[in-house]
Amino acid sequence: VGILTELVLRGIAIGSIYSLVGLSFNLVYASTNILNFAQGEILVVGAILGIVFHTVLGIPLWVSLLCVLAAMAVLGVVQERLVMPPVRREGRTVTWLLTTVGIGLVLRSLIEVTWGSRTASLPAIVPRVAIRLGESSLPLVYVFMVVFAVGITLAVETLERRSIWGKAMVAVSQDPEAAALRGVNVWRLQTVSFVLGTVLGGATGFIIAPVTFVQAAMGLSFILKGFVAVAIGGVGSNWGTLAGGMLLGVLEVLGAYFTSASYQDTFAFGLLLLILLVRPQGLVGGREVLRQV
Amino acid sequence: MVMRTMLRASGLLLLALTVPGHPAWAQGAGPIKVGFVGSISGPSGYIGEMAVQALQLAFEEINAAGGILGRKVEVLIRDSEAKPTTAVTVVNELINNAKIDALLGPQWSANSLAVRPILTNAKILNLFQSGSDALSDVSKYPYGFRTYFTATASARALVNYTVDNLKAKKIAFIHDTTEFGKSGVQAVRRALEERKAPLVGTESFNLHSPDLTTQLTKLKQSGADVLIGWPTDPGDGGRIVRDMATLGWQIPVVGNIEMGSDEAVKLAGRQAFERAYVLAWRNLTYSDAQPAPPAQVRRFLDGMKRKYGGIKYSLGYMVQSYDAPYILKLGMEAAGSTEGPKVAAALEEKLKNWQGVQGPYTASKETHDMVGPEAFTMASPIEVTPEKLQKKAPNAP
Repeated sequence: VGILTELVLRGIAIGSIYSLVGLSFNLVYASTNILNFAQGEILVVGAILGIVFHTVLGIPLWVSLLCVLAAMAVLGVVQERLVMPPVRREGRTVTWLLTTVGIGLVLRSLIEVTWGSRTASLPAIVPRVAIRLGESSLPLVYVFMVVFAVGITLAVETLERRSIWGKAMVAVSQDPEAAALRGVNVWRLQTVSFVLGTVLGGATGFIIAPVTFVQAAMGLSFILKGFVAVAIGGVGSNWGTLAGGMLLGVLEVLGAYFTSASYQDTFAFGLLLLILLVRPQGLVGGREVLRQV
Repeated sequence: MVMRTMLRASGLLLLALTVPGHPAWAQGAGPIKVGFVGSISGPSGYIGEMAVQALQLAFEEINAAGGILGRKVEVLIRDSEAKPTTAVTVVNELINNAKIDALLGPQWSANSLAVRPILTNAKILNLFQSGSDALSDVSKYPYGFRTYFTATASARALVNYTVDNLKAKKIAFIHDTTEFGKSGVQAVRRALEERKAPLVGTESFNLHSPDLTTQLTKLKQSGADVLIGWPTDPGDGGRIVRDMATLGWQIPVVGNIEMGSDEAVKLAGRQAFERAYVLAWRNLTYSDAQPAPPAQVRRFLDGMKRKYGGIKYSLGYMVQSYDAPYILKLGMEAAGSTEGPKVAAALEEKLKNWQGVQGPYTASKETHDMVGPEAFTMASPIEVTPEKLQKKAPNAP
């Protein structure tokens, strides 16, 4: 395997983390038309809870994952109760932006007070083996992150396009009042959106912990790169977000290889600015998405 | 009746002043106020947490033995959040509101560089714990004394071991982009030039980067036979060796103290560190020839066990915070004053080969970098006692 192929494969794997954060944005967006900027901290909370359940309390890894998902579901409900009432009351406002950023800051403070700033890790939920790539190797957990991201995209797409729930979500996002008149329980659907987005965020933190290690301050970087993934793919476009995250990961890796790793973040945010300037609806999103945002 | 009450009160006062652990403090003067600014939260906040534990133990011992100049020492702890702007704010508050007599810290080079002019203007004596070479200028910072190694001294120790013991022919270097990391680039390049050893590749990474395989791939292609690692955060130290293993790159790694911390080994696993040699304080290592640590280290370890139940993290970052209060006491008592210029002059004159837990400290008019190369050795990060003493590496100085 050539060096370039190796780099691209690693870039896709790292990029799949950005895709997963982006997909958690999309899940909340699906029925609410808002972007939950607390998703970065949610990822950190999921990882830290995993470490507490598994490493501190000694609960088996898979049971710990289930406990994390349950805790995240509760956190999702709490977020919906905090974010959505002003939006329902006042219609199109930017209060959701402030509230979601505020929730992120509160979570970050709680993490710093309770967890501190130590770096920790979790065992991978897949066997600790690696796939040989010539002299080097790709740990199975990297492959699993990609498979997980593709699987989640497929599941979300199926939910949104083929199930009655998904169709109701789209209806609520387009016109909540009309959807309510047709018998759709808008509140419940929006709560489900928050729960799904938060559960995905927490699961992502749990899964990537052995790769990235876990640190209280890591949320910001992932929220920004997850947002770039969404911007590349187009808000609400799940396949676009999957591709956007992976493209970002590959560009980061190749940029670092051919220039310097010091410019890694410059590439990511330069790309964001370029896309917002040239094609604000993203590479996949259509004009309709642009109008909604 | 009044007389009896007065007698009883006098008796109680006398008793209070003579009970062991409650020394009689000097009359007419309040406590000596010593500030500490550390990175208690923010990235690598446990470095601040460790420093606080060590200095509180030292001041507790000092106060129990009569304080400094017969005055009790009061410690005021502030968190810089590892941000230079916050460090400046809290140092100003400590100087202007709390009226401190001396300052310990900050940690992290960028924070030390940011607060240094303020401390110089206020003529506050400062014992700081940062590695950047830019802090060595005595003419610019006459009241600042370093309790940590300089980047130059650290780099020389790493390069000497790489060249003399590992017989490296081609050396690669990886560092983070913090102020400490940038200082390391210059220092390692100079040390390699001194030894006429070839540097075949240099790569950098941002603090807490999730993956370092790209940088390491480039270094691997350079054909290096030894890698020198210079992280600031133990998590990044762990990532360097973990990602080398992922790439199947099996060459020896030589790293700074941060690289070989207990935390880094826990994150990456012992196996990844099998061919790693890291900088260590000689006093905090053991060998077959010298299994027990020096007496002052034993006393410190016993004190930590008594007060905190043992050592939570690595020793490498905390011992200087235990030594600093004792150096402050030595300087103030030699000067007979708490004034920065007088204490600085006393330390320049009197602090010669003072044996601390970390190693010997010496100051002079020419240099305030108190820790010399004789304090260093190289150690194995995976052969560690429960008290966190590391085993000296083969043929280490």
